[in-house]
Amino acid sequence: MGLDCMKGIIFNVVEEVVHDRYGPDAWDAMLAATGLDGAYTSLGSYPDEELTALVGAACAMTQATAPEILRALGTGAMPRLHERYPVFFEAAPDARAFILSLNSIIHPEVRKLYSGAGCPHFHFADQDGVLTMGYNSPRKLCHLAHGFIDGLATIFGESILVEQPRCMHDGDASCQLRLTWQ
Amino acid sequence: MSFQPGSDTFDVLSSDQKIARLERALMRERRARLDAESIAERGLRESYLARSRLELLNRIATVANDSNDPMATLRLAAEEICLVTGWAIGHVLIRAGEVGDARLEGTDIWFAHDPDLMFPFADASNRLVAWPCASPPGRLFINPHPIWTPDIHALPGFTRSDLALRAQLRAGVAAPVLMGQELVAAIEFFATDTLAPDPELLELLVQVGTQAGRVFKRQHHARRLLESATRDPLTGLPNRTLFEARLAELFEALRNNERTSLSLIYIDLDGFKLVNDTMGHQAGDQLLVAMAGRLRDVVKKIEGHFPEAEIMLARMGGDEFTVLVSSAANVVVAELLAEKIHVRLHPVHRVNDNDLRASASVGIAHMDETYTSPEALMRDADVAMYEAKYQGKLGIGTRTVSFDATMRAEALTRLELQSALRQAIEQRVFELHYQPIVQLNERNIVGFEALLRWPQPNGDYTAPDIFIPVAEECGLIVPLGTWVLREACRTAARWSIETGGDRTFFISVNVAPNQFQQPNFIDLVRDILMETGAHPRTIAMELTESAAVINPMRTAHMLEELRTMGVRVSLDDFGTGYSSLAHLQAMPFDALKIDGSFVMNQDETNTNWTIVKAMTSMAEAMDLRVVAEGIETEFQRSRLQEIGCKFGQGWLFDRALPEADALALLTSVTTGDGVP
Repeated sequence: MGLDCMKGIIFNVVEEVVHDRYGPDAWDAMLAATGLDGAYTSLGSYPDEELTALVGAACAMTQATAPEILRALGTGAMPRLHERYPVFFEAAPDARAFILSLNSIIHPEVRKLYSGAGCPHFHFADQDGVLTMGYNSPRKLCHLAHGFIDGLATIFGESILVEQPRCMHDGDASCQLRLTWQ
Repeated sequence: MSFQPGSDTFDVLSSDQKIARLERALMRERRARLDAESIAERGLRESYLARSRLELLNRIATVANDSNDPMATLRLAAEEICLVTGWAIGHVLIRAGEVGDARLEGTDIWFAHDPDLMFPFADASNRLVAWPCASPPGRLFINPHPIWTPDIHALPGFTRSDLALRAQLRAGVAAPVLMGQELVAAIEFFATDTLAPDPELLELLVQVGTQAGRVFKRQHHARRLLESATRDPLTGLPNRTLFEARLAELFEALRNNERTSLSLIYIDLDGFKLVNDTMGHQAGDQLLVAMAGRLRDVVKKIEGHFPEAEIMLARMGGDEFTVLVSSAANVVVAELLAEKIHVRLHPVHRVNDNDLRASASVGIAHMDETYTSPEALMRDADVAMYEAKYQGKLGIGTRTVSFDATMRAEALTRLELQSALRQAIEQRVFELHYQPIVQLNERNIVGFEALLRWPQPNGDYTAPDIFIPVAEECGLIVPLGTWVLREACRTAARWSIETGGDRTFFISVNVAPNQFQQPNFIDLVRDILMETGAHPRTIAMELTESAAVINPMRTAHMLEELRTMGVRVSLDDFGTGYSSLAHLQAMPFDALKIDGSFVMNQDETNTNWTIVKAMTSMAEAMDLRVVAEGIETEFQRSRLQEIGCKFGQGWLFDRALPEADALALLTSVTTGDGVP
């Protein structure tokens, strides 16, 4: 498996988000546009390209950019994940604690469920209340992460300004997300 | 199934209704899929956890199986458990102290994902001492089950809470390591989150504790084995191996210029061998155990006074003990130890209704820069011990000798003397000379004391006070004493024939303590009398008080046997030893010989006459004849006669004479009546 495959749970959540945001027919239309069969189960793993293709189809349908789509997917996925895995959210007192537990708790837990899952590793720097997350996954899904953080802020009833001073899409070696609580 | 819905039931549905039905069916399918996924995920997670915990336990068990070092096992456990569970830090505690004083002490064995962040907390944990109490880890003494604390900051009595707060630690768990029922160590973990108890982790910790406990048990057995290899099984003291190993370590440390210095004390129990020979090994062992206990008491007491000193008492084998003193005040400590050892050994010890007394000869060697090996220090303490023993035999000195360089030369001389003695015995170069014992009133000869002489090629004689102690020390006194006895008996037999049996006399023979304590001594006397044909009435034996009191009951019994045979026994050198009336009363001696030191050089002004008078009166009261030794002047003779002493010997009458001269004297002068 490894990096070339993505866990089925991602596709399931994306389907749910698309359904929520764009109505019951949108997901079917995206599948039709991409020619994918769309039978995803969280227990399986599917090629990365399928997600890329689905995002591309969404862009075409909505006139939005891929970063916008990914961010929207991330934002929308968070309540769905909350619904499926409430225990991780209950253990964290706030969004910052949740984010900081990604490497130590959340992703190890993901690996317990899905053996071989290629979870990203975040580098954290916490200075003067500003949390900087370093991200350098070859999947370059920084915009999805951005969306996740937005969704997380909503769940915890917080307001977080997310800036991206560096991005692999702009030719940087790694992405940097700078989180400022407001 | 007989029930069938009517076919018209479904026909009336509009397409909207059909769509709605399909959507409901879809929703059901979807829910079923999600449930199935969730069930599968739970299973996956559980099997993942079970597998990783099993693997973890396997790794720990593998190390535990191969190791005799429980701390290495716990080190691995702390690390592995942190890695598998994601807990921030694991720390190992070790049990110290016995029941009543038991506690858990922190160790420097810890693992942390972020060692820099955890260091202050780990350092405080290292210095932790946890007494049995209500909060973990001390609570493990009271309840030996893992204790889970969801948030340590909510725990009253958690002593490291400030540092834990700084290290952002929240949840904690402490688990016992048990050897049987006994808490021998503990392992604790802390996480950066508050966590509810995880039954699986708790179960894992129980199993890790069991595994580590097995290693403690194995180490315990290994130590017991090692102990039996390094301990003397009889006394429980360190044996020679352990002692020499520690000596070598300390010697090396000292050569690397560390501050404290060393002394080595060699202790030899005098008279122990006799107990072994005469009363059996069991009695000897009992005596050894008792003496070892007394030596241990002394060491313990001195340790109390000099807490900085390291003192190791060991049994080298037989009746030899050693003490190693490592201290800045080594000379003072060693000499004090020697002094206290003599005091503590002095009281009698009762074995099988016998009062046994063991005294010690103690040699000390103090470390100085001239020593290049621990063996040299050991050898010199041994030399000093022999010097102490030698001085003890001569009746001089305090029975403790500290080594000095001249002693080595003296020891060498003694060694040469020993080999010359051995040769002399083989070649039968010894002679017996005979000093007359007379009646003080008429100066009539009643008998002779046979005295051993060692002629040298140059015509001189080696003085007995030089070679007898050496012979006693190396055991040659036994064959030498047997030779003296046989020779004296032959002479007595010859003289009886020469004098035609009409001249009563006796020859008195000195019996050395070692000789007297030989198990077959009485048989030997009987055999020699038979073999030489000497009449028992012509033989007397002189036994010193120190030989008599080693085992008073046996002495009394042997004296009785000798008297039954017809051989008389005198108590020799009276006044110089214990002079114990109690002993004397219980032992059937025929005569008492007042030591020459009470008589020689005495004139009218000297108060010793009072003592001599007292001894004489006492002997009279006990129906013992009295022989005074060392009479040199007519004044002494007449004084002794006035006091009531009937017999004597000394230069005033004659020196010890060669056999022919003694016989001539015996046949030429009038027979004395009454035999002492």
